Amino acid sequence: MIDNRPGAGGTVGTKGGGEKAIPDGYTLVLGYTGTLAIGPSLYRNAGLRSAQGLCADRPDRQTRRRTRWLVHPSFPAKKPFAELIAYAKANPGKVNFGSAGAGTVSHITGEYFARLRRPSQLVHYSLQGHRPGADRPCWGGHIPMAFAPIPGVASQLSRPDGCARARGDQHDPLQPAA
Amino acid sequence: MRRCITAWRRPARHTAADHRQAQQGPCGDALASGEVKKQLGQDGTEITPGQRRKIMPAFIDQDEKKWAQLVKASGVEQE
Repeated sequence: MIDNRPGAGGTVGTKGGGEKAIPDGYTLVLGYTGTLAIGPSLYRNAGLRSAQGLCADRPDRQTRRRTRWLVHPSFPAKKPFAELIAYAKANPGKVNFGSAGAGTVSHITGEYFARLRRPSQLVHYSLQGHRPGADRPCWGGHIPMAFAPIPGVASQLSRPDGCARARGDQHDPLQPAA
Repeated sequence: MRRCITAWRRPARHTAADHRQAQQGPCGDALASGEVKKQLGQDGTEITPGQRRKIMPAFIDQDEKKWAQLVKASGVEQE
């Protein structure tokens, strides 16, 4: 039985599953960076503490590290990325960026990016996770860019019109060859 | 300077009293099945069940400290 409990970037579900479940091996909590590593910095009671109730085996193999990708499909494909940043700086508070939700990796990444590009003042737009279809506001051009993991945007990155672009520092196995 | 932000995800089995028993329980069996591995693999999740409960908490604690710095630098405030 799958008990989806969305909210607070996954913290609600992690808290519910991690704290209230009977430790009999019948409950599995799918945690990730946002709920286990970021949550404690954002919420006073984030729920599952990292040092409790976790089985571990070779974190370097069992976990998969993923680079956040900045996608900006609505920005003209032939223009350099620097122009998008320049536009954001010239229009403070008018450029939105999407993320999977408040307190997620993509949210913190976007806010951190905005600070680095000060005074770009990007405005956060919370998408509904990275489930299929949640990123439609981005691909539909309602928001100019989003920070997202490759699994959530891989299908869009191979669009033939070439308007979906992504930037990251590491190659991802799910990343299209193009 | 190039900056790179990475993230990880993993299934955390909730076992407080007996990790080994839970590891061999129904969740452990499910994670070891080829069907589950294949399904999660499509999302980029790699499952390698094992029994090293001291490693993962230290790993997450390390990442928690790293992200605490990023959260502070991002300006996002605690709720």
